[in-house]
Amino acid sequence: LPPEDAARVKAILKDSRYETSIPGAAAANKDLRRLQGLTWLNDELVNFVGVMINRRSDEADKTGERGEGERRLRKAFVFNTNFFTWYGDNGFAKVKRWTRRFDTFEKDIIIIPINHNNSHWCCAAINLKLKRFEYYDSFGRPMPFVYERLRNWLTEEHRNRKKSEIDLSDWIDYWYEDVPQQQNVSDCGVFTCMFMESLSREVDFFDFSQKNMP
Amino acid sequence: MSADENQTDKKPETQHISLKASLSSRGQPQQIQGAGFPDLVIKVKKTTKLSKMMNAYCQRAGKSLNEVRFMYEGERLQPDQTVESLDIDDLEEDDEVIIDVASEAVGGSL
Repeated sequence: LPPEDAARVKAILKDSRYETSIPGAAAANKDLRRLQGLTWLNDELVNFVGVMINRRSDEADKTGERGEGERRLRKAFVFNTNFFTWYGDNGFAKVKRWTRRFDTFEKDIIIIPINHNNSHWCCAAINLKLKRFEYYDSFGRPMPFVYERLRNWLTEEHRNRKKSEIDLSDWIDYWYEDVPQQQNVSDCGVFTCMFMESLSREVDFFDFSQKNMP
Repeated sequence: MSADENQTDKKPETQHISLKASLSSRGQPQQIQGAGFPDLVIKVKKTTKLSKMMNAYCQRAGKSLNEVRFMYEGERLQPDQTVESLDIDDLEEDDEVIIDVASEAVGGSL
């Protein structure tokens, strides 16, 4: 960071009453302080990144400026961090209206940050262009129930929005062998945010690792 | 909409709505049976700021505002919003609107 930015970051972290917000997300000093050292990230921070990605994607839809190459912005939508659990616990009715502002099937990718047992962040995605259910975990292995839940949701979403059945027989469950791994027991939140950011662009491999983490 | 219905639509300027704040996931260990997260119904005017409901809920639950998230249909609610700003279709006097409550979530490793 350039020195003037570093000074500003320091001032913000010191000001205990600091709050920042964009429509749909907010983060206060106590949330931002989690970005220091090895503190675990909380939902406010992950959702802040999600809302920023959604706003950027909407803006690109309007202007048509998506950039080039692997920085090119996909038509992306990021769900909030409760989506995966609430759908699992309560069924489709709970999340039925969460996509009311757009057509799910016009998007390139739906990005789903997941919190497991209030201890671990990871990131799933439904890649509508490549017909893939994707799952990225900086600390783990592919979990069958994640893919299954994504499949079920997409089936129900299609039934609700398009009034017909979607054929998912040629959709694959995708796991990337060389997914960047955290080398400690605290950084999965940062890795998850990086997965979200990369997935919102046309990146087909992840060019970051623990070495890039502060 | 007929002229008659328009007439009756004029009347309810002091429309009241019940907000039911309710925990939406009971899966997380610290939330078993909604421990510490009771349901709360609060009756408010459509123009009342949501901060009133949020503060009442936090008082009832014994939590501070920054430990609890309030959401409606997947969107995070801010204290200075009102029921009106939620754009709910066909709201009638005394309807009950479900507000989803979530606790702070953190993660670092498995």
